[in-house]
Amino acid sequence: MPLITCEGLTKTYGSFQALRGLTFTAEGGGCIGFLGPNGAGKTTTIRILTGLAHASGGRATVDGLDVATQADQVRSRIGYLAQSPAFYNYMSGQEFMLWVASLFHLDGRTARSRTEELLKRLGLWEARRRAIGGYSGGMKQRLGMAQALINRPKVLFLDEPVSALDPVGRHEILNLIDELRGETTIFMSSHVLADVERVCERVIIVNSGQVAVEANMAELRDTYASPVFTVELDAHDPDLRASLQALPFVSGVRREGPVYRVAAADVAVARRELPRAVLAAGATLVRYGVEAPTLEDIFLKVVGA
Amino acid sequence: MNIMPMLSKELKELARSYKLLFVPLAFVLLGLTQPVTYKMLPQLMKSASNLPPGAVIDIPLPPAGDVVAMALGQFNQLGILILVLVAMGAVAGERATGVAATVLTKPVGRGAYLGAKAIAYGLLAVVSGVLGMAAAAYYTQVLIGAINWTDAAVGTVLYLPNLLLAVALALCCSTFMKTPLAAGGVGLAGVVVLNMVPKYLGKFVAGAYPGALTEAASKAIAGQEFAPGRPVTGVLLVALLALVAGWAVLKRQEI
Repeated sequence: MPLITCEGLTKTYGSFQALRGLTFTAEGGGCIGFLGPNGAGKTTTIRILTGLAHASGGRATVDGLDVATQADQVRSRIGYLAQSPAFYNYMSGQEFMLWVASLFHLDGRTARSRTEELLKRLGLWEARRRAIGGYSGGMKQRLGMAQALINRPKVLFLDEPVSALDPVGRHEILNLIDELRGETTIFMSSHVLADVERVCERVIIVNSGQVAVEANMAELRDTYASPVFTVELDAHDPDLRASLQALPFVSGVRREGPVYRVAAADVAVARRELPRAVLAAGATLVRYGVEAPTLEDIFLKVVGA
Repeated sequence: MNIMPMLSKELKELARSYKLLFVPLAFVLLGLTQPVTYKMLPQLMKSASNLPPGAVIDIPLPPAGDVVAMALGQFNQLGILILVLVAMGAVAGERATGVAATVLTKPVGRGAYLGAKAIAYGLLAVVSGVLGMAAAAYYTQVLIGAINWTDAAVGTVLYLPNLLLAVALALCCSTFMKTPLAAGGVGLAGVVVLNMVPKYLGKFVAGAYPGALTEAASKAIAGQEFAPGRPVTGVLLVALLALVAGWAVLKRQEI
């Protein structure tokens, strides 16, 4: 039985249609990356799956339970971490964890041991008696992760879990997600594609409220196997991007400073003609290479950016 | 339902935010204002007015029971304002900060979520009302004259539904307004409308609105005859309807 299903999910806010028949199935185990540009419907989908929002149409299930009609049972099986989790700031970290444990009816001993285990694991044990209001952003994110895990959830929904964190905090949370792989199924939305690439083995890409691609990372790379040509100049040339884009064998160009990543419509021709075209445009070539596409390349291709 | 962990959280929050201390204290102060004012009135007038030397101000003190009953007027204005102010952010504030999303993705029904708040703030209103009236009665006894404690107790109990109604309206507004301030404003407007309008809506409605309940409670305290059935039922019914409406809104609401 699939762990998460969405069948023809629709969601309308006034005249705006956030979801347009979103359909996917996710099996249990591992980490599923849920990607899409802003406004694609990622957060709306997670909010429907966690019971915070109601679908306008269609059906969604978690662990075989309908999220609309069996919401209480669904909530007892899931964990949820928002992008910027909020707490009762007057409580201490330990107090909040024990209170959340009581919502799941954990007995006193189990609640205490699970709280200790998670706070130690998340590096919050020393700060357990401090009021949450005094925690840093990274500590709050880690506490958010700890409270989401207290019931040993079957699915852990993470909505942009690392986008508000500094590099150290991001590294810690990603390591934890990596560690959790065998314990629960992680369903994670993120804008940081390199992070998804690092921890997820399956990806669902949504665009305009519909699923654009649903595949394993390996399948995805096979499907979008066209290599990407890297062209690095000695300095940024403002006209080069347009010149390259106009070439008939080029399907897309992305620039990061003086580095241009060129997707080819005809790889054989591009391999032969691209360096020549760059030099003909008067640019000074520092480096030229051919790479496998990153998730970001694939993502941009899928969403048509 | 999971109402007990939610209720324990609400009570803890009332204690930690000192609402459990300051709200009853405010009611106690309001309660003792009436007897102190009546006792001090001649001296106050003497010092405030430009009377010739030797002039005597002789204001007869009202019956002790009437003085206690007049404390209800204080509760009807400032007391209710305080209750609405403390309860207005109960739902709207948690939704705005995002903590409602943390809680409502746990196995907590929205009925339990709102019900726990209603019980906690209802208890706060009851404790505050009882302590405020106790202060009014005690200081009246000390400063003005003997009161009938049984009548005062009956009048207090009769009046409490008005405080519960204020809490219920504030919570109801807190579910459908986006900010605590808007919830408080609409809640207060609701209290004013319920206190002013029904008396013009015919004999049946006029006998069952918060003003009629205050009148019945005042009569009870003053040892006069009173008919509490209709106003108590009417006010409690409206409070219950406000909570049910709040629950219905919250149940469909996107957090």
